[in-house]
Amino acid sequence: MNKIHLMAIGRGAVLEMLRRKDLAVLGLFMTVYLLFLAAARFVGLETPAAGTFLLNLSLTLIIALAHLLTLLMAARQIPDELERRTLYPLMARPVQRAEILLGKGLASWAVGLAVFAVLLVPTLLLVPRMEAYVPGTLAQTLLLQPVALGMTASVALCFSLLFPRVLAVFLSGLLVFAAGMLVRLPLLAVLSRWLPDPGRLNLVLRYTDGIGPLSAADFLSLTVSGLLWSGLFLAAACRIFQERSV
Amino acid sequence: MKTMIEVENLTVSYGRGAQKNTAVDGVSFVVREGECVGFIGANGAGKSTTLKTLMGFTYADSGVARVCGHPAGAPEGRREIGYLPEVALYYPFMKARELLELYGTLGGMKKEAFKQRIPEVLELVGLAGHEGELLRTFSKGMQQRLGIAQALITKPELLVLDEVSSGLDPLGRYDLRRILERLTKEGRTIFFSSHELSEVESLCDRVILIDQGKVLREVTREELHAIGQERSLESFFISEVRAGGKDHG
Repeated sequence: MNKIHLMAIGRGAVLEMLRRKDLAVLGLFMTVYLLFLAAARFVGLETPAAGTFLLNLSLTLIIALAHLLTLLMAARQIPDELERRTLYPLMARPVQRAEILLGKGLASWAVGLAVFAVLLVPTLLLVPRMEAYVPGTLAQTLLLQPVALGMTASVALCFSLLFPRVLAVFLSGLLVFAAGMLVRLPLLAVLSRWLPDPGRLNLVLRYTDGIGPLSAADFLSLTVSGLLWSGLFLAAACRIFQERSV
Repeated sequence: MKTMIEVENLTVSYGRGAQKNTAVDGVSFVVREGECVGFIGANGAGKSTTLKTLMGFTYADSGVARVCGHPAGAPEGRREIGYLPEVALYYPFMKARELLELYGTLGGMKKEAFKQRIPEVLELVGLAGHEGELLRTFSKGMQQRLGIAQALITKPELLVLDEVSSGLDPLGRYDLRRILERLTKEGRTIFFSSHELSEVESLCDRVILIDQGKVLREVTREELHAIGQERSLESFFISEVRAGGKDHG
């Protein structure tokens, strides 16, 4: 893998994100969100339960937004290149197909992570803590998010090569946002250990419920499973892309 | 003389089973260093598929395709190629300079080289002064000119151009001919597909006629001129396609 190639391809994807209307929509959402947090702080929360609810809601919201952005961005990269026919001049350079995929996947991941980081700071500063929360759990929550976003990006990239655009977004969304619910269905319960579920890496509820951090072994196991799933989906995407005539 | 493109008994098909469609059927030809070769055929004749296979975008069922001494699609071979796809809409969110920087970087150019090369190549294709403009504001003809610029940015030895004059107005076509003439004089090898018979007559050392996935005939510049004295190239082309190349040797 050539780092310069990855950076150049990733830069193109980020530039697209910055110059499309997505940024304006994101900016609008961020403004509304910050006003909401400021209003909540100004008005004041009467009970600790309300504070916990607001903290839970805010963290869940920003994590969901980061995943949604990553998913939408990753899922459109290759279909857009094919539609515009710009994939050809890209592939005509001495780059490997895997570099194109990885560059675009990394860009989608980085954008999701940046949005998460930017929204996290005001969330942690503005939402009042009225109950005792365990900092170690927050640290684990934050450390697992890059891994979860990596899973989201690789799932969306892989599905975008397998299915038509809308179906790819729908199926990726289902896996990213609803896998936890799906595995509660009787027939799918057996899959609960095996389904790639980025939601399992979300420890927000654990944090806002005041529960302590995971054991080192559990934390490591979650991290490794997230990395493995990301690697598997990326490897599958690379293989599909490599073997496909475009 | 070095062989830049070597195609031997190349067969490419799309689909599977009953849906299988053979787009290129046992095609063979070579393009040598410094030659300008036109690849002519009607829509669906197999021109773009052959070019895509040479670039490694599409995989062959059988046969051999080598570019600059490397198997088609090998990144090492692509270092020496500039490729223009048929009608591409370049990233609307990028500026012309950014697009050329992207392709130049991927082609192995150093950052310092852009300062001189980008204005140079934009000047060559008639887009001087447009380097800071967003591509969403570019017309179809400007996009095609930019496509030629991106193909030339790394000063490649071999140019593979798919439907090179597509989207260009008469002035654009005239400019394009001048650019290709200049590149030929510089010793670059050019292999391009086109519908435009006048284009190939004035530019090419050799023309390869293709129809229904098979090469019908190869014609040298001298033969083309001789044919042009007797009848129009259009009627020659039509008669070749209808006869399937059987009555010409």
